[in-house]
Amino acid sequence: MRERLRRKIAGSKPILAVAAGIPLTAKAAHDSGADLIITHKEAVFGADGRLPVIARTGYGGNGNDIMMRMAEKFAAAAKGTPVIAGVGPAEPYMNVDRYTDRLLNQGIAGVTNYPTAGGWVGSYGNGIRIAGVGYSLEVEYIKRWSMRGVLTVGYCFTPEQVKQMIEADAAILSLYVPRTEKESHGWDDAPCVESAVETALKLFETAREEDKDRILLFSGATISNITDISYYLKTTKAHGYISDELVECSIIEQGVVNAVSGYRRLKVHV
Amino acid sequence: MKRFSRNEIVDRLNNRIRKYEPIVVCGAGTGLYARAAEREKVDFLIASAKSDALVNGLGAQEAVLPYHDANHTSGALAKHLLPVLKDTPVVAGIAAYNPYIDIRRVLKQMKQQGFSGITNSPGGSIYEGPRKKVYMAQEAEMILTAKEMDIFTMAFVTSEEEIKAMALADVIVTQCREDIRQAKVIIDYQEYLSEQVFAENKNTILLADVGNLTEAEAVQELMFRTKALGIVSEEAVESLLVHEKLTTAFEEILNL
Amino acid sequence: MSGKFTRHEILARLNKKRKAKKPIIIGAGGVGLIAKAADKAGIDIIMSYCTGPVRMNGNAGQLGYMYYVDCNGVSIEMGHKIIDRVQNTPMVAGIGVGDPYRDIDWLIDELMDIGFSGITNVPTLGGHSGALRKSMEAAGIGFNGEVKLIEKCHKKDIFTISYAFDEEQIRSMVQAGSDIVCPHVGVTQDREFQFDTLTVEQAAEKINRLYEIAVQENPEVIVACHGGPFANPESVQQGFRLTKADAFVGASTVERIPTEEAIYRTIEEFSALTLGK
Repeated sequence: MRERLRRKIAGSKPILAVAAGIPLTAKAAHDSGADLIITHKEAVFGADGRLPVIARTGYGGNGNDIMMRMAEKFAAAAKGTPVIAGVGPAEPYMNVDRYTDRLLNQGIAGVTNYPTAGGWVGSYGNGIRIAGVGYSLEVEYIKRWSMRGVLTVGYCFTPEQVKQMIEADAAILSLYVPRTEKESHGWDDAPCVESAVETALKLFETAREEDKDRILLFSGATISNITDISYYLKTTKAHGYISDELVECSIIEQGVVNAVSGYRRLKVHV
Repeated sequence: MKRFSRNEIVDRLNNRIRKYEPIVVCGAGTGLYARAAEREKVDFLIASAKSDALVNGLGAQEAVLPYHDANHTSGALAKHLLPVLKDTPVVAGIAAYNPYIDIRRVLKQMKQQGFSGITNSPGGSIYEGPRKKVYMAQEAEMILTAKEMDIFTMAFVTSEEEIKAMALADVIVTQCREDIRQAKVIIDYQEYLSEQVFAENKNTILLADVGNLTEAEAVQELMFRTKALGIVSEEAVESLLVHEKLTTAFEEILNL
Repeated sequence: MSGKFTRHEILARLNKKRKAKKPIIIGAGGVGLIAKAADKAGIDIIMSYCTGPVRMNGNAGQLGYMYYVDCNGVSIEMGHKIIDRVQNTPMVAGIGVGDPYRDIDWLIDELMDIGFSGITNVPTLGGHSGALRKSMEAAGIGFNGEVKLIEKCHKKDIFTISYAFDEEQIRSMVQAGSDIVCPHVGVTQDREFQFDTLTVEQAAEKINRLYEIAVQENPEVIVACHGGPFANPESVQQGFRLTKADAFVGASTVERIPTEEAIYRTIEEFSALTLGK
């Protein structure tokens, strides 16, 4: 798998990882030739018409249970394209490594730390960190599974996190491009496009300093604007892009809206 | 979360008919599909094992395979669809031929969950021979029982023999079996079926199942030839059209 | 709309205590055994919400606010399991207003039907900041949604307790009709984790500030102290001396921590025995 990705990079073609909340999207990703599929509780929520950030805040059940329930279906729909599943390392009711073994047995190819606990800020975020269930736990988890040769994707939002994930040997890093005000979905206080790129570039610089060959993808821009994706690809020189759940949602929504409005225009026999 | 009585739904449909507007019914497998369809004023939604299978990436033919309890699957869709809808009825697909269930109990449960109606999906029509007659009788009985319980009913018919059995349903839908994929065959066959339906009762509220037809002209032709008052779209909207949009978007990025 | 105890019954009991200058003690009951013991010991109110079972299984309570739970599902499950273990104490259930899969009115009815006697706004977003909170406030399921929840329950004559983190929040909650308001003074001090907590004096200052606002809106409202330095009877006694609070809400403090302490002590004592041979 890594070989395939490296060949793509060598050929200057962008790597595409698709966030999928329903297996149909995984199927579409495979059929279009995308390189990776990433699924997690936030994507599942989004595809179900719910606000994705709620997936992080104690609603909808244990994300790890959701992943386990859907793993087989995603793997089947992906028809061989690797599926990466988001895992919460502070799994309260089973040893998370035993859980991960089972998940991989269902056909999942790799794991990621998304949705990360790193997004909690302020005093509560502090509490999470000190209680040991924050980003550092995710780093340890990714490290353990990278060492077992499993495909891992580390999501990073700060230069410090980038360093940690590289040290943890994450095969692929997802580097966050902060969103502009109208796209903000719970990670930051929305800057303008230029400063967004500046912030993202810091992550890329840090990554390349630590390891110039690590596979770096960027996530955060919305697909409604292919020019944005192209722009970020060029300016960050990322190896590829992760289309997140908001992208999936807007496409599904658009598809259904178009279809139904088309049906509305049908003429009835008189 | 609103549940609609049988009369409320029939009134809505008659309203469309009076205004010569098409009745549009879609399958929904997730809250997102439901919300988007409601936005464009779909008349009601179908929540069935097929709706679920389609968003899981299965084709229409695979969607009717018995790898799960179809009634559990459609019931489970309630919490995904109902809370996001403001003013749209949801009809639950029920496999009437499940030998473990008491149909009255299942209908009561569906009603309690908030579904406004039921339909025979998956239907016994996928089976052949003597079994088919038994299943058809069970579906007919289900429709009769549902009507007694003030539950709106919609029946898919795929062959002439089913038409008489399902005659009591509030809405009839002509449908081709999932393995029939060519537009010409679909349109010809449903035209034939629709003739039989109207022969049985010329006032039937008839809809045509678009199956895998995605071209607007083909769907329009289907409507004209069957003289249907509207359409049902499951595979087309949930799977084919969405899949197409997704792959197009992904290919655009891959070609950067 | 009433559960096992009506709102009026509860208020009558609590006011009786206030008049007798005895503090109202409210605690979390994460598991049946603890709730049963607290009930027997004469606790005034037992709260059931998402962090309880998580803690009782030895995990960090914070997980109850994160990706790992269905908070309202937990309240329902706890209700079924614990309600009959508690005889004399009103139980209050936590509701998360952002539930994407449940209707809040249905949820309130369901919890009261199970036997709860009141509702509280847990999980609460009031203490959170950043873009996560902003997006939820924008969707109407932030603290603004929690105020609506309390209003809704109050209109149904259901007993309510609410957490509030600043002046504006406490004012909204008292206006919404909350019977008890609880100024939150930060994460509770812990033996295991080095959380940054306020001193008793700092906490008292905040409580007094918020107390004044609360009683201005409703002179009958009960104000409780919770969290921060209030991790043991001594500090809470100090709190009562320095503030006009009538109640104390203890989560880990009357649940996980005393249990752990008792186990440590008991096992140590047994281990210190010597054999006869």
